Amino acid sequence: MSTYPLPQQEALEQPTTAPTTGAAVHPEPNTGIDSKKLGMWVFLASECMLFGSLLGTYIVYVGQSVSGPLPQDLFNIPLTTLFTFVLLSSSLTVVLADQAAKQGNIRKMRFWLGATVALGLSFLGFQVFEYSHFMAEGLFLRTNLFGSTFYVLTGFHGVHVSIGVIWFSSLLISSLRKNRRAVSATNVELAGLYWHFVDIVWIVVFGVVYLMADI
Amino acid sequence: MTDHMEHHHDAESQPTKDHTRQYVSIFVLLGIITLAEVGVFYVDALQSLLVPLILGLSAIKFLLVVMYYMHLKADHKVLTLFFAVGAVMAITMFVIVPWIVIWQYA
Repeated sequence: MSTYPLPQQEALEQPTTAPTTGAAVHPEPNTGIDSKKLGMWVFLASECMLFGSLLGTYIVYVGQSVSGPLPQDLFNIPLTTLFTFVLLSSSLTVVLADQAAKQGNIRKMRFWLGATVALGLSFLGFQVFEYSHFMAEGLFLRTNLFGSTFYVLTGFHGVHVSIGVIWFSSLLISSLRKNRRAVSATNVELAGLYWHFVDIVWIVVFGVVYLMADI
Repeated sequence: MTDHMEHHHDAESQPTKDHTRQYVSIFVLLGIITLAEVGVFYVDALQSLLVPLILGLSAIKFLLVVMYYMHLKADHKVLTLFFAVGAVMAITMFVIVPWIVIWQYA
């Protein structure tokens, strides 16, 4: 059974510029920004380029399909709007979990992390339902250019949502097991940044892929 | 056993301040903008303006999440710079490149 870390272990997490032991310490970064946070933002910038290229490919090829089914035959806008709300709601629960973590309120943080996991799983359930419906209508990865680009774009997004759900689940489990190091406010913030990025990708996908389907 | 966790704060953050009302307001705004997008999709009279309206409304939602939920508005400017470079390259790839390709084949 995991317990709270020992004081010596906690001390290893404290940034210091004057190490007194041979143990690993975190020196003050030159930028004045937490290195983990800086690394996450650089990672998210690279993710922007990944999804930018996937969206660009979708836009170029979506109108080039020579056979159906086509987007306007398949998309269910009211249902997709509902699940867009689900993902937007998860961004609210994440930011509230982040705030609770910074305030040191672990009970609230657990509640909002649990809510985020539930909303993320709901969104994934929607994606499974949507894919099974599209496949029943005859749209597969190889059916046409719309199928190829749609499944690759939304599939990559779904994988990112899945990683986020696993990440938040691990934070929630760690907090329930009283593993304070794993659920530091910084770790919750990093997971939150990742999740908000997944949300903003969906904001663009919803507009460009679903609402501009008839263009 | 305590129910309070170990946490370290950045110089810029204000850990004790409660932003719940602001976060909920942003969420409501995001919901209203999403409904407006869907409204534009269903209104025939707005079909000629569909692309600029959807892109504009999506951009507003994008900025609201990045500035308030991801805290870029109050965070270090270097982080904004990094993310802006990635975002500009992404916009180049999904707006300008497709436009050039489609224009070439038109």
